[in-house]
Amino acid sequence: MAILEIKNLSVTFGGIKAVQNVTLSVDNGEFVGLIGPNGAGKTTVFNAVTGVIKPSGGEVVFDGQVLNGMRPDKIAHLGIARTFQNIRIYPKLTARENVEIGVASIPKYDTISAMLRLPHVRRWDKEVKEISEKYLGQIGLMEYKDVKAGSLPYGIQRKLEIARALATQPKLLFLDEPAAGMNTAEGLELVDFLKQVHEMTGITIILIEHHLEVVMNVCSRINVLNLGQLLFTGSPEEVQKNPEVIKAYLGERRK
Amino acid sequence: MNTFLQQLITGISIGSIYALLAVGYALVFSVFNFSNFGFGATMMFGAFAAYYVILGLKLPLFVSILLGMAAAGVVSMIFELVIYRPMRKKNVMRVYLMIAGLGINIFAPNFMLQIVGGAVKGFPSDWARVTMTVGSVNITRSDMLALAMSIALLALLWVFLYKTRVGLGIRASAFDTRTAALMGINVNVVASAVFLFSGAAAGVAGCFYGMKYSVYPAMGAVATKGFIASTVGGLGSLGGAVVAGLLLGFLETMIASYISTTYRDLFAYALLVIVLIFLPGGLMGRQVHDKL
Amino acid sequence: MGYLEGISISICINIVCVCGIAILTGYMGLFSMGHACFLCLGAYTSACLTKYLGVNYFLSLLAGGAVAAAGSVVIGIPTLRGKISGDCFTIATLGFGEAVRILMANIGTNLFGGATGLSGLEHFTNLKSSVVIAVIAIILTRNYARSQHGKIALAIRDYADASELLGVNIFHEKLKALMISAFFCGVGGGMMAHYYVYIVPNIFGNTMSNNLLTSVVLGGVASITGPATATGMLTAMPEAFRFLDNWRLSIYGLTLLIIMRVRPEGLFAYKEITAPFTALYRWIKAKALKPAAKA
Repeated sequence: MAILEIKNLSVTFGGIKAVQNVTLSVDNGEFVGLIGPNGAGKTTVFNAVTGVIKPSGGEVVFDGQVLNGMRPDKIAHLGIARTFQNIRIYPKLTARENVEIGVASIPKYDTISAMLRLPHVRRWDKEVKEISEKYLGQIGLMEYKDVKAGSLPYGIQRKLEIARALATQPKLLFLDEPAAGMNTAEGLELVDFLKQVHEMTGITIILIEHHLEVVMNVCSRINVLNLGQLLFTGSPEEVQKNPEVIKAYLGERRK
Repeated sequence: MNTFLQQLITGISIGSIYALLAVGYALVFSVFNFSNFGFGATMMFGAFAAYYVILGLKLPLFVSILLGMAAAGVVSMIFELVIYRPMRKKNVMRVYLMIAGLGINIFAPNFMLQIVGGAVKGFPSDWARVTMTVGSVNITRSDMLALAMSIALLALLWVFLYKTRVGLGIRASAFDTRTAALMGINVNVVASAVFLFSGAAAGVAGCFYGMKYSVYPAMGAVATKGFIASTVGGLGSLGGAVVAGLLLGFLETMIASYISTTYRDLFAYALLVIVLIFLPGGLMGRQVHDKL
Repeated sequence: MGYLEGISISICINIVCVCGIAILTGYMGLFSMGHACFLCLGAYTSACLTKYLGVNYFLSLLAGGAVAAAGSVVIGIPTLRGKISGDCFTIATLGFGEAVRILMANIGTNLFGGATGLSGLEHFTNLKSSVVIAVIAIILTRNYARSQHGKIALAIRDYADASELLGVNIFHEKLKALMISAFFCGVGGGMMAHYYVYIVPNIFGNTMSNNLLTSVVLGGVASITGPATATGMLTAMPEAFRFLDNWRLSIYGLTLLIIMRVRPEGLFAYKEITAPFTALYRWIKAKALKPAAKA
């Protein structure tokens, strides 16, 4: 059953067609890759689905609901979470507080109760804290819980961002280049980590990645974008053999 | 009809001052994504420079306006050099840049107030005060000059931005500062140029405002109108800034003559709020979002 | 009334206002150039209630705060929505500040006294109640800041777009921060009215707004007691350096510049001065326990 269906999606920036007529669907529980050379429109697809930018055409259906024109926070509450190519960890909050934002993006108490710090506020804050620590524990970041996120090492920040996204209890998780800036060994470690996350939570994951060894290792199906258009969809083996993909992707890399 | 024509001319001449100020804001915003709230101070320095050049050196009006313009440009560049640039290097939040600008705007007029006193000074040019009659409309020479020089300067700015190398660098930086830096564009040169030109625009605006009304330490407050115009036009849009500046000047004059002068100054803010409600990006703005 | 007592009351009033603005500026990262108008709204509301209707002073303060908070919604709705830049909010507050001042001087002259203002108010504001209110203001805003709302405010300040993608309703949170800041300024305005016993629209001008902002910025971001301390310093200092009086505003401007240049996050950023409050807590506890122990 498809959880996400993108139909004829197009995005234009000041006359430039960043994404043209992309149609793809993702099944529930799948681990899908989205690859393509620089400027192929991968992040733009993420941005259009999560409501950051308005698509100029086409439709995005998630879990039976049309997402077009919906505010990003509403889309998040429907069950889509994401991480960012340029890390967007809150540097001044601790690791745990970062996850708390994901757990409780809308506080369950009003302003006046918060100012008076009524018992239900304390109770709920404690609950949020415990849930956040649970997520940190799952991802293996418990030792950093009280460290300011801005002072954490790069790789840990990437993981923290994933923990924060998981804390929103998504049905669908977008990962935008989680291995960016990592070497091959770290990339392979990330592969194991992502596999674990996928098995543990069973949620649908869509991954953008430049490290091909990462994508080939974890994804069951790969979509290839080139120049804003969907070039090919298939299993990692098929993608590796497809001459068009090799031309578009490897051709660009040789340049 | 004649009164209307008269108001139209007055409106456009004050509007051209707003347009100059708005373009200054837009220029800085388009490249550095923050509003230079120290702009009013720059404008005031420009006006005072021209005032003292005329009074002290007895130079002709045009020369003193050019000198006032240069002085304001240099002052603006100095603000960038000693305040904004080190802050930019530290990658501080944009709010801090705005607060620093506000600091300039609180400091400069009060400092001037202590140095030269708060008295309102008439611009010492008899030439500018002469009224000319064109058809049935009376126009002061200063209004004519403001209009003509604003148009000339905006045209000059356009030529600079679109026909020179530094202009290309500015436009590239406005599009994407980080990439421009990677492409070998010297952001510091761009910053100096942007602040020099926006400061010069503010200086001229200050001179014309001084001619039209008077020169005094708190005159920089009018720069707020320029900011409103640049917001109404769409933050960072030069074309929008010019259109909105002229529009604001025109509408304000109409309000003042047909409705009430008490509420004239409030009208600009009302316009701002109305535009923000219906056109959050301004008349010609582009929607920006964090590069995720 | 003693000279020291007068300064102390002024400090307390400023602390009440600054605590609210600390939420807006120090946590949410929005800054206002016209918050004096909320003091104005609060002062007039509170003054009219006690003068014409004989309402209890403390109730009138709450009402003043409520009216100011309601007033802030008028400016918040158009400027805090969607992707509108914080610059627009800042400039709009300047306009709103002007608007309130001009309106108070021109409408309802029978009620508000026009440009000459309202006089003959009762002198209700005393040191004891002011200190209590200031402490309550610090505790309430501190509670808000350490609640989930406070963390979300910092999240929005740092990365608004990313926060929205986590499900944060940015508009609501920003509006709440603005309303809180307006509320406390409204209360402070009410206290001010019953301290000076007369009010005119013109005292609620840019100078007042800028003083409040300077305190918050000097005190530090993400701190309540920092700005409270800073406003104490800035209120007491002009009294100590009377001979510099003419230069005061220049010095304020220069202070802002120097802080931004040297330590943009302010003196007590991300820190709270807790010692006096723990001491106070112990003292109250001891006092409460004493009669119990006797019995």
